[in-house]
Amino acid sequence: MEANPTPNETFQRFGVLHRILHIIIIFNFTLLAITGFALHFSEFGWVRFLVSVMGGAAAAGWLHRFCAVFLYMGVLIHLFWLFYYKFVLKQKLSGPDSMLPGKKDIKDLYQNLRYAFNKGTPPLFDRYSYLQKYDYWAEMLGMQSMAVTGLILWFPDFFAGMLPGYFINIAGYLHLYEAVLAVMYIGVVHMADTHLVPDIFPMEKSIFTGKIDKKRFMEDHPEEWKRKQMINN
Amino acid sequence: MHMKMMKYIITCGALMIFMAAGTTALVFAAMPFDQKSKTADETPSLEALVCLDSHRMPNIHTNEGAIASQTFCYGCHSKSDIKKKEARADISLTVTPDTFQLNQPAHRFTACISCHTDIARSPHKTQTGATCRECHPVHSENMAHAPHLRVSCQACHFQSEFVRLDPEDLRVKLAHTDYDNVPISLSEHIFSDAANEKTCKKCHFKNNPAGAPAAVLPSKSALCIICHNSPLAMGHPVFGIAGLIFLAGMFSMIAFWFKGSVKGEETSVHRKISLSSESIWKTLFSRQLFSLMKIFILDILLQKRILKESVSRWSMHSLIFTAILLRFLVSLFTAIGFYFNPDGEWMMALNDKNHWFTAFFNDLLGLFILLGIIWAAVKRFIVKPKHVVSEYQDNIALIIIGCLVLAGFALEGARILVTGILPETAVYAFTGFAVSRFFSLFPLDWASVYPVLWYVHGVVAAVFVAYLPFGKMRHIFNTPLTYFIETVDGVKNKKRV
Amino acid sequence: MQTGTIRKKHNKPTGWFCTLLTAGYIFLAPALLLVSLADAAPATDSTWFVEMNQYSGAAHGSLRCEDCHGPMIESESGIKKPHPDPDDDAFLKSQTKRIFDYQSCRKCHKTAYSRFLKGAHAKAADKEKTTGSVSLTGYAPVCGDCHSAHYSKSHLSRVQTGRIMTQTCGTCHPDQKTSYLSNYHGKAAVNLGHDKSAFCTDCHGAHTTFSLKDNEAALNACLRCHPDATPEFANIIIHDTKKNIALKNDAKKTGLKWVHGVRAVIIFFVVLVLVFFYSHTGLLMLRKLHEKLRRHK
Repeated sequence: MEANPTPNETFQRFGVLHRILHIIIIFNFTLLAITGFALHFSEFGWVRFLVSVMGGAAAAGWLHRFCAVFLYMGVLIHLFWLFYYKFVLKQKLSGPDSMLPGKKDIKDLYQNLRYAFNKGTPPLFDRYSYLQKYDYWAEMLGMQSMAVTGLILWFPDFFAGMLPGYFINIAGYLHLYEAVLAVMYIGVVHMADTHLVPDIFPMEKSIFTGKIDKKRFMEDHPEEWKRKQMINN
Repeated sequence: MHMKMMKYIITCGALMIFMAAGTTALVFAAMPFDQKSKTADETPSLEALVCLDSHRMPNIHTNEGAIASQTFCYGCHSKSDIKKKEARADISLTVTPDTFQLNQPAHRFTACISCHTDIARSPHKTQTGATCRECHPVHSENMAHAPHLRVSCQACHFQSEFVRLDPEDLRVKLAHTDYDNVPISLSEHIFSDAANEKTCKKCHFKNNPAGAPAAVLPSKSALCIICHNSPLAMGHPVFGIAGLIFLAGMFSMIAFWFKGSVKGEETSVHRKISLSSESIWKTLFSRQLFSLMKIFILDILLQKRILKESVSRWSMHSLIFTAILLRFLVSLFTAIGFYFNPDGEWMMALNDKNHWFTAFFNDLLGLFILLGIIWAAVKRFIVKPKHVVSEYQDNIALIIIGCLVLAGFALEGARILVTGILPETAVYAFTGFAVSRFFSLFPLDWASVYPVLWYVHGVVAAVFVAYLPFGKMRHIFNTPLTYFIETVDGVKNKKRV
Repeated sequence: MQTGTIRKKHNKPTGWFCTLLTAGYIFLAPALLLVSLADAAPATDSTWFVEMNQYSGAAHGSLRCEDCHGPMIESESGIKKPHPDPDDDAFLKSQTKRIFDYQSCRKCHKTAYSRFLKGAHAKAADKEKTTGSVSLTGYAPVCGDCHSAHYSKSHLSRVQTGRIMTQTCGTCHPDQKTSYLSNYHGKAAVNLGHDKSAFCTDCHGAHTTFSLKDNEAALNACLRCHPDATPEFANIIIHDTKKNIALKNDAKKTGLKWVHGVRAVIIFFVVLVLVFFYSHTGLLMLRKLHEKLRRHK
C-alpha cells in the first residue's frame, strides 16, 4: 500500500478489513480455546464451575461450534478478499510485499539465529518477517485442518459413512493436539514476538490502528521502507 | 445526576440483597436435612428391635457408642483362647479391656472400628490394616528424620521388633511374622517409644529387609531449606556449627558496613544504627518502596544488569541463581504449608520425594544448577576469554556448589537403589534414576554407602552455608543491597562502605 | 450540585452496606461451590453394623430386617434360616455377598431379576458355578455387588446415578472406566453433568449387561442417540485403550494401532515445533533485551 506521510509520521500498514478480521480471530480463537479446553480438561472442579457458568456441557459445545463457524467465516471473507484483490483490483499476490514464503525467509531465519548467538547483525525484513509469514500460514493451514477434524467430530455419523470408524478417533486426537499447539504457539511465541520485543513493549498496536510509526517502520521493515523511498523518489 | 447516582446505588444494593438472599437460600437448600423416616408412625416390630440390638451401627463419636462398640468386639476377643491357627504357630488374638487400657491409655475411649475400619464384616479379615491417619496427621521430620512417608505408623509406634517391606504396595509395615517366618501376635497393642533410637534400629541396620539405609541418620537441618523442605531443627551439630559461622560472618559483614560513615556520623556506632534504621523506615513507607520493588524484580530476580553485560553470562548465572531461588521458594512454601495442613494433597505431594512432580521439579532444577556450574567452569578453565578474570574465590564457590549438587544426585541415585522403588515411579527423577542405573553396575552394599554419601552431601552443605558470608558468595547479600542503596540515592551514603 | 451534602450522608451507609454485601457474596461464592461439590461419605456396605440414619433415608428404608433377611427368631412360625453362629469358624470366613440369598430381591424387582439372568454377569456366575474358578475381574457380581441394599437412595437424578455407576462399574472394570472418562461421553456425562450423554448402562445395559464386541450390538447401542449411525459408525473406538485389547473386535484392534501410532507422531511433531520456536524466540528476546540495555547506558 502507499506510504502516506501524515503529520505525526505514521504509515498505513493494515487495511480496515484486515484489522476487523484480526479482531474476529482474537475473539473466536480465545473463546474456542476456552470452551474447547474446558470440555476436554473437565475433571477439575473449577473447570466444571466454568462450564456450568457457560450453561453446561451442551451450551459450551454449541458456543464452541458457533465460534468455529464465525471464525471460519472470517477465513472465507479473507479468501474472497484475496480473489477480489487479484482479479478485480488486478494486484499481484506474489512479490516482496506478499505473504508467500521465499528464499529470503530461510536466509533471514539463519541470520537471525546467528544474531541470537552474537555472530552477526539481525536480518533486514521486508513487509512481512519470516515469523509473521509463519504465523499466517500456520494459522491459515491450521484452521483448515481444525475445520476438517472439527467437522468430523461434529458430524461423526455422516463421516463414519465415508471413513473407517477409527478415523473419528484420529480426528479427535488431531483436533486436541493441534489446539494445544496453536494455543501454546500463539499464546507464547506470537505474543512474545509482537508485544514483548523490548522496543515495542508493552503493546504493538498497529494491527488494531492499522498504522505504524516511521521509526518502527524503518527498524522492523527496512527493506520495504527502502523500496518505498525508491518509488517515492 | 446525583439522583442517578442514588438510583444506581439503590439498585446495586437491592441486587446485592437479592444475591445474598438467593445465596443463603441456596446454601440452606443444599444442606442435608435428615429425611423423615417413613416408618416413624408404624410401631416397630419385635424382630427389628432384636436385629438392631446388635446390628445397629453405634455412634462411635460418643463415649457410650465407643464403649458399646468395644463391648461388641470384646464379646469374642477378650476370651483367652481366641487364636488364629497358622501353620507354624497359633497367634493369640486376645484383647482384654484391661490390657488395652493399660497399653493404649490414649485410645481408651476409641472404638475398635475407628481404627480397624474394615474389620466388622464377613469375611472377618482386614484389607487396609489399622488406620491412624483418619485422626492423626502426618508429622514432620523433627521426630522422624526425613519424611518416612512409605512407612506405616505402626512400624515405629508399635512395640514389635519385626518390620517388612510389603512387596505389593512397597510400604514398610509391621510384620506378622518374625524374621524366621514364625507368626507373632500383635494383639497386645503396646506402644513403643518412637523417640528411642532403638526404634529406628528396627529398620536401620545392615542388610535390613525394609530397604532402609544401614545407619540412623540425623534429620535435615533448618539450613537445608535453601534447597530442601526441612524442619525447624538443628539436625547434626555440624549444621549448628555451620549456622554459627554463618551468623558470625553475617555479623562481621554488617559490622564492616557500619565502619564507614553514615550521614556524616563517623564515630558513634549507636548513632549510625539509629540513623540508618531511620532512613530504612523512611524509605519503606515512602513512594520509593515502589522503585525498590522494581529493582527487586528487574535487577535481582531477573538479573537485568547481568543481561546487559552478556547474554551467555546471564544464561549461566540464571541457571544457577534461578534454580536455587525456585527450590528455596518451593521448600519454604512446603515447610510453612506443612505446619498448616500436613495432610493436604499439595503438601503430601511436595513432601514425597517420589511424587512425580516433586521428583521431576527437584531433578530438573538440580540439573540446571549443575549445567550452570559446568558452563561457568568451561568458561573459566577452558575458553578463558580475556574479560573473565578468574579469581580463586570464584573457583571455591563453583567447586562447593558443584560438589553439593553432584553429591545430591549421587545420594538420590543411592536412595533409589536402596529403597527399591519401582522404575516407573523413579523415572520422574530422571537424573537420579540414571545415576541409580549407573550405581547398580557396582555390587556395593548401597545401604551402607548411602549414609556416607549423606554425610558428604551434608558436610558440603554445611560448608556452603558457612561460606556464604565470606568469599565470592557474599555477593548474594552485597549486590542486592548495593542496588537498593543506589536506587534510594547514590549520595546519601546510608550504609556505604 | 446542592444535593452534594445530602448525597454524602445517604451514600455512606449504603456504600458500606454494598461493600459488606459484596464481600459477603465473594466469601459465600466459594462456600457455595464447596457445598455443591461436597458429598456426604456414604457408609460402606455389608459390615455387621447398619447405619440406621442412612438406612432410613435410603430406598429400602421402609423395609424391616426380616423382609429381606427372613425370620431368624425361633418364636416366629417356622425358621427359614437361622442366624449364623458367630462362634463357628466358617462364619468369620464366609463372604456376605456370596452367601446371601438374592432371590429375596426378586420378590419386588421381577423385571430387573429376569433381565439380569439374560446378561453377561449372570452367565459369568453360571460359569463360576460350573467351573468353580473366579474370573480375572473377581467374582461374578450379584445384586449386592452393584447395589447397596441398605444405603442406595431412590429418586436420584440421571447424573447422580451415573456418577455412582461409573464408580461401581469401575471397581471391577478400571481400565474401561479410565477410557470412558477420557472419552467425550464420559467427560460430558460424569465430569460436566450433561444428562444427555451416555453413562455405562446406556450402551451396555443395566441388568442385561453385555459386551459390545459384536458390531451389531454396538450399533444398536449407538442408534439410541445417533439415529443416523451406520455399521462403520460403531467402529468408532469409545474405550480408547490398549489394555484389554482382547475384548475388542478386529476392526477396532487395527483401528487402535493406527490411532495410537498417529497420536505418537502428532505429539512428537507438536513438541518439536514448540521446542524450536520457544528456543528461537527466547534466544532472540534475550539478545534484543541485552542490546536494548546496552543502548540505554
